[in-house]
Amino acid sequence: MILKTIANLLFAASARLADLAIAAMMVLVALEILLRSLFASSLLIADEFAAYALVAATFLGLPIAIREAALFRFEGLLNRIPDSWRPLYERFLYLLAILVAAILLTYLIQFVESSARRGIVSHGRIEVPIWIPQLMMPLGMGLSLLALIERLLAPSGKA
Amino acid sequence: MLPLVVFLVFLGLLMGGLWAPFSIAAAALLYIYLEGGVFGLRAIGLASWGGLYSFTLTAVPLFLLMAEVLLQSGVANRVYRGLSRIVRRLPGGLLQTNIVGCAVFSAISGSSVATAAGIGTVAMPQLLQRGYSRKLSAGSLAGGGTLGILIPPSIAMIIYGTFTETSVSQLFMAGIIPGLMTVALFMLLIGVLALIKPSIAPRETATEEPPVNWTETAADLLPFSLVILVTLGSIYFGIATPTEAAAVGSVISIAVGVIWGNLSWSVFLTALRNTTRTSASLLFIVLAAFLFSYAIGIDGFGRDLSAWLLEQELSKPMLLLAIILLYLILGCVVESIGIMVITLPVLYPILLAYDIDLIWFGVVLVLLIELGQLTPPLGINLFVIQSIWEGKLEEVVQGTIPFFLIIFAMVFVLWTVPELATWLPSLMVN
Repeated sequence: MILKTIANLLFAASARLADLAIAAMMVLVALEILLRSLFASSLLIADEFAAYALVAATFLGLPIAIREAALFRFEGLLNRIPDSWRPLYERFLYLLAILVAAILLTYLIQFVESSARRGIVSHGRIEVPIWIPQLMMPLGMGLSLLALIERLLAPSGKA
Repeated sequence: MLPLVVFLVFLGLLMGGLWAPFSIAAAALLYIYLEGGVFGLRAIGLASWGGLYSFTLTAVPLFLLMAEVLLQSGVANRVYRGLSRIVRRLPGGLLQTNIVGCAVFSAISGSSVATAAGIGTVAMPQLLQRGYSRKLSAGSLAGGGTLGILIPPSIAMIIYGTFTETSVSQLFMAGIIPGLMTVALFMLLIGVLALIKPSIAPRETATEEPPVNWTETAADLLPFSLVILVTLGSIYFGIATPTEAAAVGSVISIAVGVIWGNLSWSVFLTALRNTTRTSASLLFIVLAAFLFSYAIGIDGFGRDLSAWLLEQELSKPMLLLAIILLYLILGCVVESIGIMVITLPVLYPILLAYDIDLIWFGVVLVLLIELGQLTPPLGINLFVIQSIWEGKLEEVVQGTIPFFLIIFAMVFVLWTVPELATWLPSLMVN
């Protein structure tokens, strides 16, 4: 029960951060144009940070897309499976998805770790340690894995 | 052999009901593993980051947000109302409003799904209540919805531009004339059908209604026109990149939503959350496809295939015909954005070798994707319409056929007269 509450909090935080990333993207890029056209000036970081926000929004938005069944799937075959078999079959699909997510997570962690170890910084005006924006990838994928496991345990939910 | 096996695995997973992005990613991981072993898999991180860390792709969530804000704040409803006052007097009545509504909504939305759902949810109840042909009601909305990716902005074009390194601004402009032609043909079709068989549409005669109140109509249409003018205008005149136009468009949409719609803080949060969900699921497909294209890259399949094709000395028309055929078949079985991103890495060297205009091909490809969005079993627009009414999927499919044929014909029109796509981009500033 406590685990579930913690998980729900994490999912909610992840989705909220993804929302924020998209809003930040909008503000950043719009501000840049405003500065450029009215004051012939520039933030110098808008392009770079907007792209960071895009990566964050994609990965942190994924858990909620999984939980709220926003991902596209073909249901033609699924709907033909007898009701008694359906939960079992769904579990099989979730297992496949979990396998994919787990492999992705493993190598995303490795990638970010190596960026951090080699101390890579961005080329932009502000030298951002690149592992910080990259960290959103394993974070989002980890939570997605959690969301898939949640599905595996309770496949009866609307998929 | 290997590519074929991987493709069959992908198809099996997809048809089996695994989510599209996971099906693509699973196939990609398998491909990478078989080709490069565990060592190959270590490139996943870099390929993911390299693919998604993109300023161009930032336009995807921003254009989604723009459309969501206008939709959630009720501004899109007002546009439909405004348009319907004028257009429903044409033969075909509200069916014509569907097409014009979709066309106008397409100019602020880059997604076929958003367009079909946005106009569909407003229009469908009225159509059924007034006794319009069920098939054509569904068909005109599913077909009209595909305009979402042809008329700029277009998420399909943003993704195409990212993969082929073509200018998204030019692609957007290239879509305008073919888009407007498609709209005209759709309307002509409905008009003719309504004249031949009046039972498909009850007459919306002027006698039953007061004359058009132009002030009110202008008030309904003005805010939307403003958003369209600013976003597309700034791209055309080279003032802004598509991403920048999307950001400004979103800001203006918020202003428009507050002034002319009922955009409150909580409505905005809903729009934002819908954007997060849709863009994450779309971009995860793109990400999975980047992994797939990485696999094709290390395999050298794209190079081999294009080398083989060049050896065959296939003529350009034959090649194009083969490509069209390929997409028609793939369109039946694969989800549409997925098709594009999986095939482009293979196709790209071939297009270059044959000296095919990438802007022109982008528009042709979008038309082919539209066809895919309308073909069962995986035509996404069919499902969108299916989800907003109580009818059968077969009715939607049947109603869509005439619109499908028009889009199909447009492919050949563009083939014969490529200038329809390439003329506007050639005029652009810069």
